[in-house]
Amino acid sequence: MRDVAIVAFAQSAHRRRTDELSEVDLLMPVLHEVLGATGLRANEIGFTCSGSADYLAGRAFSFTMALDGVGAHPPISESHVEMDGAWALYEAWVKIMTGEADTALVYSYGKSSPGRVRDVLTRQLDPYYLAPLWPDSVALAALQAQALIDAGDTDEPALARIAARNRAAAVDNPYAQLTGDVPAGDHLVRPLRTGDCPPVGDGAAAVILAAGDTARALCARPAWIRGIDHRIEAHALGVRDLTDSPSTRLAAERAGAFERPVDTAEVHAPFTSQEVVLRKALRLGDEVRVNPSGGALAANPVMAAGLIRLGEAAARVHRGESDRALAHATSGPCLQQNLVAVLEGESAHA
Amino acid sequence: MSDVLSAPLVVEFPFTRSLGPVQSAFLTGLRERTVLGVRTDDGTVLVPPVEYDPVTANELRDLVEVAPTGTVTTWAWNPSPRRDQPLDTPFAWVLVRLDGASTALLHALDAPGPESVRTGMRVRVRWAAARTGAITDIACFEPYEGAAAGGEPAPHTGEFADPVTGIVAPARLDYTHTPGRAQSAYLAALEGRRTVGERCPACRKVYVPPRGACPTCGVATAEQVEVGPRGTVTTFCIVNIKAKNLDIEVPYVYAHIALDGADLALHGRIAGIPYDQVRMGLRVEPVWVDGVRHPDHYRPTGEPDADYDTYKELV
Amino acid sequence: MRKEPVAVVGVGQTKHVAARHDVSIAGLVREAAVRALEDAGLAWSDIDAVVIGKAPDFFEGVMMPELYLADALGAVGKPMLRVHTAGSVGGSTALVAANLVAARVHRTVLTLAFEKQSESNAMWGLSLPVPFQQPLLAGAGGFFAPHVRAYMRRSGAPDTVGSLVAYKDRRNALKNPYAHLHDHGITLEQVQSSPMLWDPVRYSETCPSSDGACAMVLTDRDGATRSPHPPAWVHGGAMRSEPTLFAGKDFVSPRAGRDCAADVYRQAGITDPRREIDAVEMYVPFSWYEPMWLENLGFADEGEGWKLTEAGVTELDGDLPVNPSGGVLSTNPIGASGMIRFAEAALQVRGRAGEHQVDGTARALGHAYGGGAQFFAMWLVGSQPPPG
Repeated sequence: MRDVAIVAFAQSAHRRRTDELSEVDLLMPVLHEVLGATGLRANEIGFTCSGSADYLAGRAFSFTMALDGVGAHPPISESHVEMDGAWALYEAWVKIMTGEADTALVYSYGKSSPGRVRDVLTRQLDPYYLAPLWPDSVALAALQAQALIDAGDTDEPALARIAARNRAAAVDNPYAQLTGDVPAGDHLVRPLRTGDCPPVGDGAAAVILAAGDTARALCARPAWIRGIDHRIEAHALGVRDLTDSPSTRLAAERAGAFERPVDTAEVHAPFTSQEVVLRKALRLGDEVRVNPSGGALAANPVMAAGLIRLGEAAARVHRGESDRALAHATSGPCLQQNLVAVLEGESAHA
Repeated sequence: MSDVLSAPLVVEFPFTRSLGPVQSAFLTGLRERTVLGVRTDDGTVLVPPVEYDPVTANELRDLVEVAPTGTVTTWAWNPSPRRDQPLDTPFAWVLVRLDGASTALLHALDAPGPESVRTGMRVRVRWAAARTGAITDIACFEPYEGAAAGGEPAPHTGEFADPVTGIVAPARLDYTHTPGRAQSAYLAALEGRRTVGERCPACRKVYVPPRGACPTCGVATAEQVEVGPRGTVTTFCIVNIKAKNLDIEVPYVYAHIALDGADLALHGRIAGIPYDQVRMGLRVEPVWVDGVRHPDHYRPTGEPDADYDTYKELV
Repeated sequence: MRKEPVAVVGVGQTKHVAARHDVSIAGLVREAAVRALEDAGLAWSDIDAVVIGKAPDFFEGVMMPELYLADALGAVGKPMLRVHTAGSVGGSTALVAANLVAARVHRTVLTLAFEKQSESNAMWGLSLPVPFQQPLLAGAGGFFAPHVRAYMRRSGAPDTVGSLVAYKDRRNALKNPYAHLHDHGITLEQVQSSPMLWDPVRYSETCPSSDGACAMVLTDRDGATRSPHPPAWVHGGAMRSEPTLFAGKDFVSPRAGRDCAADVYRQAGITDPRREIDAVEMYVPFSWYEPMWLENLGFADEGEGWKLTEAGVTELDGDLPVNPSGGVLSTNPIGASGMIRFAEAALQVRGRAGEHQVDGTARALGHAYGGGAQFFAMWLVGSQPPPG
């Protein structure tokens, strides 16, 4: 097994709208920042992989336009997943594990502002039985939240405390979109209130991966990927136990998350109720700092928010604020698909 | 920035979906007010029925009939229905386990308010008046006082007269498209019938239309450079087939045109010359018409043709 | 540490047709996947991960359809990845899957690509009414035809070459039961006299629009020893991308394609592709791309590719058969077309291509490309394990 680390992370300021910015305008400064942090130039990168979804902004092949920001000439070894950038990172990690590349640039971006993301995400659902009913993403999350309440796993005040804790933490995150004292608000779809839901906005993120001594040369304290795994569940909500996330638990097991305690976790829970599910599946106790960045409740650029969890966790390791951190990303309705990575700083092994 | 353009973008299509045997039986059944499920190898009854077992991946074909009554397993009150959702008055989203089923189906519940909904409540199907063989043949669920019908669900052949084999699933999404700074500036210049590109600060190449970034250097472009109006046809094709969305008489010539001063070609139609006389190297200029943002077409300038060597790097 | 050798032990395809009215999207992908598993003699439980690819989601109107397809593909409880690299996606999807084995992350991986184009209309999906943009002034072929003219100008190729490719590929398709177009009475005269749609591209020189799926099972060295049929071994694989448009871009012979081929040949130890490669499945959506890619891939010098076609070298019984399956010209479920090239290359070296088998194929190249001739994916497979 090669040792692979996240050696740099950058993200845009996340904002409700970015009308003056095309996708490449949004992305390019982030690419420059992450390359600048390592001193690498684009043509020195061994592999490039991105994550995005055409449906968000309503344009086919939007990733081909984003490629303009990379400077892909001479031609580069490059791939793209129609998934959150966390899975692009996974593909890049695999590429490095083959030995064919020593470094990788991973990026993702999401502009939710052109569309109505609640409606857009209905197009992810079973096209025969579900999509024709247009059940929006908040409605599906609310069904899950009610199941948790019925099971005695949470209640509305507890959900409000999760929202408050995340957004209080986000005050220290200069990139966050929604921070500080945010009212719980009215029910958007009961039992979820506006405060339980993520802000809708635009943003981009990028990380650089490197192997072994290259990583040590590029970063004072690389965030070593000790394990990374992802799993998917059945699609239909009616065949799943919505109060649990077996795919998260399995991915965490495979990533070695339960072998030793983590001190920090960045979990991708766009809705407060999903943090309840994830804490249970990941066995995160009160001693673990969960979402010191404010999480997706503070900034949720769809298709980038998962990669940002990996980046935020890595950045804490880089800064010496964490020795062993867990990062999680999700995709699909009600946490259908989940990725877990365990990141460590070098001293943790000394 | 106030000079950034913005316009609606409607992405809409009536998708034609073939169903396969299990979904065909289920949706045809709904048309006939019959709810079918499918039994897995371990006896689980999945409603709605799916073609492949989510646990074992085995193919499922063993259809059974379940009751149109059931029990809410979770719910969520939707105070402001969105376009195309099942009801246009406030309703509850529900997962309902129909009597005889092991799993739950997602749909809407018509109820007076959230106080009247709870997990465990009994509901029944309210059938749509006009049914076509679609999930919306269940108009919604409604509260129901009866107890759960007992017994095993009965096997069903899934056969109906005149089965539904496909559905048309119209889908409309509304976007507000903003082309960004570079394209907005380009479009604004076109209003004045000027073609303005942007020069890369690193490689000095001039991009028309500007892409906001130099794609080879990966840096932002900003320096504006007016190009043209004249240019050279670098290559072309003769279009003999009428495109659905275009009102242009065929045949016509669709060409790549390198405007003077630009470092790559843009696309346009050539007219003002018989289509079979258009050639690589032809010198052309834009022809504008009122009320249209882009040049209507390009026509010959009458200059001698450009030598191949002068534009071969732009082909 | 060396990479784990990767073997293709299962290949499955649907019968490609204009519209599969009898199956759901799940039913379509399942058919290809089951055939690949049967070929490999494996069950769903033997699969460690699933890697799926397709072209834009607008084609079927399902965003990230892999979420809904997880159940049909036996992916529940497993890792599932979804690749999208435009027209090259079928190839890049296979390469991502191969890397999972090569990196020893998984032992056995199912990879699959599909398109069910009959659910909508590909031209709608490719030309959404984006405001402010100048409307595309020609249909699908209008994008490619000017580049064909540029090739003809540059190479001096006679205008008869395109028809030869189409006539060859359509006849090859008659030997491939999975091909979409089966035009039994086809003659060269028919091809040559078919309507000129986007001069210089004739109707008969364009690809169809198909519903179809293709799947492969990839496994490691141990897995290959259990394979009931001879495996194909991956000797090299690469992807290269360049921007859609840029100053100096060569649409006739994009550098990304040349670099990608060079990388694959280096990995496979190929120094003379024309002599050392026995069959090629290349992505030829319009017939003229055969001579163009012959040059781009190093099988002919610049300007000389058409001479190979004209001399019959690329015929099924020539000494460098190109697209023995009938190619994209005979079958085009867009997102699957690249994987079909990769899979057909594997079938050739496994000796399992049936009537369109090229006898004695030891090495075959699978090639895919997409976007604005900017995304390339290729692999070279052999009948013997890679050395070492």
